Amino acid sequence: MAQNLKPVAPPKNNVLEKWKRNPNWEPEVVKDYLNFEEQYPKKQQRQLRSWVRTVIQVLFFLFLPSAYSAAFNGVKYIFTQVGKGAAIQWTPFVAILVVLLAYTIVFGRFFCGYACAFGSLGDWLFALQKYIAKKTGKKPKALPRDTAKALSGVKYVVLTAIIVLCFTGLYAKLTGWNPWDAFSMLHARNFALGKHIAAVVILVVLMVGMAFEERFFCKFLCPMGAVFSLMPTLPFFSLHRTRKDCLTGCSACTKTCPADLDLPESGTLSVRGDCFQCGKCVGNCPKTNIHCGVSDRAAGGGKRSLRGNELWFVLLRAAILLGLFIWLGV
Amino acid sequence: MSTMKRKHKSFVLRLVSLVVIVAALLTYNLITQNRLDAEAEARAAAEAVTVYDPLAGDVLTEASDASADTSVGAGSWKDGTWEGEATGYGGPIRVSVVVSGGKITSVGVLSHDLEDDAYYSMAEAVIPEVIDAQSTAVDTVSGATFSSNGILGAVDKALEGAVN
Ligand code: SF4
Ligand code: SF4
Ligand code: SF4
Repeated sequence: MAQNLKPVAPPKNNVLEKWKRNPNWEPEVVKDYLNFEEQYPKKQQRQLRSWVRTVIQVLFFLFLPSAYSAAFNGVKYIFTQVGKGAAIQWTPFVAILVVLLAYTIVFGRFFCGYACAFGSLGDWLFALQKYIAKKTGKKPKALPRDTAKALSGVKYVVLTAIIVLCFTGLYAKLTGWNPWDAFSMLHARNFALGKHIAAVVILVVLMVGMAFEERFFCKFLCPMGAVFSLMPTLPFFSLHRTRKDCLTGCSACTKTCPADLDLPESGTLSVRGDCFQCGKCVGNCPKTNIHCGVSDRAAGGGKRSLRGNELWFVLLRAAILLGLFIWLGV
Repeated sequence: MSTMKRKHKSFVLRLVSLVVIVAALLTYNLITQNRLDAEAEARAAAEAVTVYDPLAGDVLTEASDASADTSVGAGSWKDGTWEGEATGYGGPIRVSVVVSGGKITSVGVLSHDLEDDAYYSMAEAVIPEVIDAQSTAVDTVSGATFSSNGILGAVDKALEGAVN
């Protein structure tokens, strides 16, 4: 998807040429570049991964589209009950919420990267826009990084607002505004949208946003994403990089990341709450420098370290998620 | 040590916040549950004083309460099994309503094929409410409004056939 963003290796002789012309160039840099070429992940590998991801996304989209709203209904339900002074029952929504949060604490936001219908919709709309842009040669301007960073705080405001509305009991009076309702009704081929005009309009606006900015809704607005990103995700399966082994001046991972993330350093408990676990950065790192876990030893793409985009690992996480959803009756 | 702290700070902060929120909700629930239980007991005790048979009294007051605010008066239906259909989240929901002695005694859902399971299982909670209140003028299950309205609508349709 992000072909135009991947770092392009200059041809070997060109690097050597440059080095000859500029003896101040550190030999390290040249070595790095040569390594880069040798180690560059094969294009087919990347294509296979992105294909597998799309298949998983399509299956979840078709068969389990409501997991996102069910889990978020759990949040709304809890605060509505507290607002009313009523007891919180163990309802299916609460169960889905709790299980999905526990899953996220262990595996990170794999749900967002592979299973959320709204997230997948965003990916496809963005891919479509890119395809059209490529055909027509007209590229829309990307959002400046600072703006994007600032906007990513808006989702916490959305979450807080919804919680307050639920707590005060006002939320129940706001029918016809929830874009998710409109999406679910359309997904269920129920076109009686008369009472949901506002929701449809908001949905269309969001979809336009999704098309022009990768993961627009997820990054900036999604209240469930806000909850996910506040979870204390364990570092074992979330992504880290060994910065000192990076290619000088490289930022391929950040550029390919839908959320523009700088991954944290290996060996720390630090985790990027905004990471969707899409795995794009892992396959795009020229030094195979991105990996799961806290240990420094896991770095360097050694045979026994878990990089996080292995096919078996992706399929395993998808299968566990699917099993949990079936068990919960989503 | 201080770098250690910095490296792990955000994680520890998140963990502590989560534990605090979960603990707060559990405590809240415990207190609320106790309060509700105490209230229910107090009510039962009060009723036991005024009415000879608390059980019969219960049913009586509830039935008369319900008839006060329903469009179709409680107990005004023909005995039998009545079927009705209405649209829920994704499609039709069919129910059968059993009326005996002029009262709704049971509501069964015949089909809800296009309903999402998570929503549908939430919405089912309206059925005992309908039987309790002998009316469809009950609160919908929040978060599962479409499916609840589907069930209530289908019960309404079924009762139309049962009107005396
Ligand atoms: S951020 Fe929200 S919409 Fe996006 S994938 Fe996650 S849950 Fe879905
Ligand atoms: S950090 Fe990597 S896995 Fe996470 S969202 Fe960015 S590209 Fe995807
Ligand atoms: S981790 Fe990121 S910055 Fe470092 S080499 Fe890999 S892609 Fe480049």
